[in-house]
This record gives sequence, structure tokens and C-alpha cells, in this order.
Amino acid sequence: MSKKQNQVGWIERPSVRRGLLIALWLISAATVLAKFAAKSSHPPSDSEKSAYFYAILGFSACALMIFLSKGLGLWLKVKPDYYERGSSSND
Amino acid sequence: MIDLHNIPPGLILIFGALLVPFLPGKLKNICTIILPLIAFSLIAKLPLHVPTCSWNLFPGLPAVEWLRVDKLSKAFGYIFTINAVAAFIFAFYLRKSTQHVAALIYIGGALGTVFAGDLVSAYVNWEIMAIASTFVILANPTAKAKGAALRYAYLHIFGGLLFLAGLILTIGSTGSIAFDGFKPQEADLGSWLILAGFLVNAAAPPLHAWLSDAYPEASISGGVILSAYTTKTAVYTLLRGYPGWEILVWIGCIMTVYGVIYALLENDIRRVWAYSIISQVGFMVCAAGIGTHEAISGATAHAFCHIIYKSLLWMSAGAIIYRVGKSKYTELGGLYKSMPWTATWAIIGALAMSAVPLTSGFTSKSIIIHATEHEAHLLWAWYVLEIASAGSFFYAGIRFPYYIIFGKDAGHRPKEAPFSMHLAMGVLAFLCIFLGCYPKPLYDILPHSIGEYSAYGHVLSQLQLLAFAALAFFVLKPFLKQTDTISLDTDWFWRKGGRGFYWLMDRTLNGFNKFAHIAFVGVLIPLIDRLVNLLPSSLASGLLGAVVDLEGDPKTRRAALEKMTRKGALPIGVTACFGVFALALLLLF
Repeated sequence: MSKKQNQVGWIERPSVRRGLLIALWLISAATVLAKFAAKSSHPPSDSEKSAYFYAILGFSACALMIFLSKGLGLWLKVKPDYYERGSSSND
Repeated sequence: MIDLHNIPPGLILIFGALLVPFLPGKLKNICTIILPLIAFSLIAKLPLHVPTCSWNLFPGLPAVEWLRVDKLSKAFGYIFTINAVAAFIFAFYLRKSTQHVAALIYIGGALGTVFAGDLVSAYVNWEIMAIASTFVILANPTAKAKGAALRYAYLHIFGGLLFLAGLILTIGSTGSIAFDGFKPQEADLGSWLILAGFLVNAAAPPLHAWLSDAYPEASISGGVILSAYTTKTAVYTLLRGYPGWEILVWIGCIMTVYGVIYALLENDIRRVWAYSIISQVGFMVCAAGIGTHEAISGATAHAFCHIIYKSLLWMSAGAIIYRVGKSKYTELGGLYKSMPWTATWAIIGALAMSAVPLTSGFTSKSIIIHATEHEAHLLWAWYVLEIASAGSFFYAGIRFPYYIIFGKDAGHRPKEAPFSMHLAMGVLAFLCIFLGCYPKPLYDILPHSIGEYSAYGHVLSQLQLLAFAALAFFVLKPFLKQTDTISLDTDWFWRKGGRGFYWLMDRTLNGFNKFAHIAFVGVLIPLIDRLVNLLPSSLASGLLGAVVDLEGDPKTRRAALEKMTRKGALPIGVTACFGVFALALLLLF
């Protein structure tokens, strides 16, 4: 086992993590601003969505998935040996 | 006349598989790589729309056409053979013949199905594929794999029977075995049954759980091979036979969301990728339901890219399991330190699956979404596909690297994967990026031209969708606690239901058996025995009481008479009287 491998990895440093999170916020904001810029340079047609449409869709879709899976998990999640318990056969 | 142009490409793999057990050492592995390469070069040379391989198998029916070559079948043929080459390079470490033989026959069956000229040849190859794939699962010698393979076989026998029943009904009603597009307005029981058979193999809920049950139980290279063929062959048959059947839009949309939710619930990497197959195949099934030229081409392109990135993801999961021996999110983390190359390939595959720009998933999935957007009455389906697309990025592009690659260091310090695994993963990772940056070679082989369409016309929208999906992950991460669990799915009905059925049968049939034992053996037979023993003597003594003169009280006399009749020691006069009576009866009748 090398010494290098046992060191705290670059991505585990709090400063790097904080920096990546800030970068993500900035990229997200930039996509909305870029959409605004694109819309102002090209007149929107009826079918085009608002500049932040995909932002709302992306965030709400994932929030929906998380809460849906969380709720279903209460009912569906079982121990890994669920099917082996009480069975002497190979299932 | 037989020349190279009338050999179905699948036969090269099927007959080639028979050679493999006789080859020593590495030659065996080299052979498994060369065979799909030969098939690929044959497919590239096959002329379009020239039927050349027909056999008259059944009198009264048209000749069975084993080779139909058009752009749709060629596109699937190319990717099936490319993936086979990569998968066998990945499996270069494996020396046992069992899995290689089963896998080659399985891929041969899949190729046979996509080049099948009619329903009969499609059915024959379909069944070859089902049987051989069961043996691919069984090649992993664990009790769990054995159980999963049995359940897999039951489900595929059921699907095959649906196909067969539909085929027979279709021949009965039309007299034709043609496998062209069934028209939704002319749907009959036969076409519905065939569709149901196809949907079993496409892993459409509720008969989808064979996939998440069986694939993760196969060996690591077995899982790689299985991930590519059965569901994509089903997608091909849907594109070929059922374009424009709107029910497929509904089924496809359900699959996309269903797969995402279960992928989020699962803790095992290979089970996550198994559910993600269901989700991604949902996009293709939905496109088949839309049925426009753009949608059909989009589904073909997505099947092509999906096979590449999904194989890459199964390979990276396999490499992790091969080196670490663990496959659960709760047991892994920080692998970028000790397996940096495997981590890189895995992230490329995950980004491609998430349809991140500059990867193949973006240039293929966006065609389907674009085709859906053009159908005004399918706006709801467009929303579902976009939601599922964001969800895919969420569990593959963010959750997977966050926990498995970069997550909390679980302390594992494995060696990097073997060179052959890296070679296979590297080739597929290159294809993921190449087709994302330069999709023209892919677009050129699609069944219908997609004109001037460019995925990069929507790049900003896609980036926004993905960036905010990533934000949702980090904002809502506290709700995503990893747990060492599995999630119940519809296989519960045949796994627990099977035991329940056994219990019910045990109680009812064995209960009936017990009741019958008591009633017949315990009560009825002794009763008959007693009756047979006592009735004649009682009857005789009752009748003789009037004619035989014995001493004592009536009870004693009756007992003496019964004793006499049982022994047959009656007085001579009485015996003679009975004899005369019996003779009289004989004379009368």
C-alpha cells in the first residue's frame, strides 16, 4: 500500500469541495444568463421555452425523483438477505 | 449458390462457438475476438435489400428467409459485433469455455434475430438467444446465479410462448410469415401476443424484473455481455414490427421513470446499471411508439450508443468487483486513488449515459427527445423523457462518481484492473467521446436520414438541465442516505409468490391427501372389511334361525349360528336346501 494512496485525496480537501460547489453554482447561473443572451439575440418563436425553463425542470425533476424514491424506499427497501431468509433451497 | 453474401452473420458466431472448447489457452480467447470481427466485416459487405438465404422448411408456407439486410438491421449488426469484440477483449482473463461458448451462441442468436427475414426465422433465433443467455448466467457457479438463471429461463420461456402463440395466430389469419410493420389499426390477437413477447425481452414492467434479478448475478464478464443484447434485440423487433403503436409511448415513458427511481433506491452497482438499462431502453421503446422516421433513427442511434456506454459501465463495475470484491455503494468509496484509470473510464461511461454534451448519449438521446417534441399530442411524453433524462444524470453522472469514485475513502487499496480490461474500456470510452464530438459516422448508418439535425442546437438547454440536476443533488443530498438494502420489485410475486404457491399446494393437496387417508384407510376400508366379514354370516344366521333348531336363549343360539355359517359347518339338510335354491337361480337366469 503506497504512502501516496493513504494521503487525503485532493477531492477530499474541504477547500476543493467548496470550490467545486461554487463552480457548479456559477455554471448553473451562467447557463441561465447565456439563455437570456441567446434569446435577446434571436427573437423567440412560440415553441421556445423561457430562459430558466430547463433550470426549473432539471431541479424539480430531481427533487421529485428523490422524494418519490425516498417515499417508496420506506415500503420497498428490505435487508439484502430478504429472499434467502426462511429458504433452504437455492430460491 | 452459397457465397459470403448469403451467410447469416449470426451463424459465424454460432458455428465458431463449437470450435472454442477445442482450442488451448489464449488461442480460445483470441478466437472469441476474431469471430465477431469476421461477422462485422461480413455485415459491412452485405448488400442492401437482396434476399439471398431462404429455406423451404414447412410445406404450405412460404420459404423461411434467414437474411434480410437493410440499414436498420445493419446498424444493429454493427454495434452487436463491435460490442462483442470489446466484451471478449474484456473477458480475456477467462479461460473456461462454458461462458465463451454460451456467449458466442447468444450473440449469434441476437444477430440472427436482427437479420431475420420473417417471423419464423426471428422466432428461431429468439429462442436460441434465450437458451444461450440462460447458460451465460449459469456460467457463474454460485447458488444465487443458479436461482436467478432459473427464474430468467421461466420468464423467457413465457415470453417465447407468447411470441409463438402470436406467430401461429398470425399465420392462421393471414397465411403470411412476413415480419414487416404491423399496422395498429389492423391489430389482432396474434399481433398483440407477439408484441407482448417482445416486451418481455424489452424488460417492460411488470415483466421486467428478470433483468435486475439475473444480470447482476452473472459473472463479471457475463454481465457485460448480457447487458447489450436481449433488450436491444427487443428494441430492434419493436422498431421493425411496431412503429407508431402509441401504447409503446406509454410503456416507454413508464420504463424511463421506473428505471430511474429503482436505480436511486439500489445499493449494488450492477443492480443500479441493470435498472438504468430499463430506463434507457424506455427511451427507445417510446421512440418506436412515436414511429416517425426521426424517432426510428433516434432509437437506433440511442441503441448504438447505449450499448457502448452501458458495456463500459458494466465493465468498470466488473473491474471494481474483480479487484475489490465488493459491489455495494455502502462498501466502496475513494477508488480514484487506487484505480484511477478504471475510475476515468467509468466516469466517461456515466457522463455518456447522462447525455452530457461531447458524449455519445447526448448526440443520440437528443434525437428521440427532439422527435417527441415535434408531436404536439405527445407533449406529456416529452416532459417525462426530459425528467427521466435529468434523473439519469442524477444517479449516473453525479451519484455514482460521488459515492463510488470520489466518496468517503472505504480503505480499499486494490491494484488497477488487468490490461485487457483497460484496453476494452479504453476503446469504448474513446467511442463514447468520438461519437459525442463527431456523430456523423453514426448518423450516416441510421435507417432514415435525420437531415440537418444537430444535437448541439440544444446544447445550452441540456447544460442548464444537467447543471440544475447536479445542484438538486448537492442541495438535497441529506435525503440520499445510502443503505445496505435491496428493493422489492415485481419478482417478489414469483419469488415469494412461488413459495406461497408451494405453501398453498402443500396445505391443500397434502391436506386433502391426509383427509383421504383418514376417510378411506382409517374408516371406510375397515368398515367394508367388517361388512364383508360379518354380513354374510349375520344374514345367514338371521335366515337360518327360523329353520335350524338349536338349544339355549336367542342370543346364544344366534352366536352359535354365526359361528357355524362362518365355518361353513351347516347341517346337511340346510346345505342341500341352499344348493337346490342356487341351482334354481341358475336355471332361472
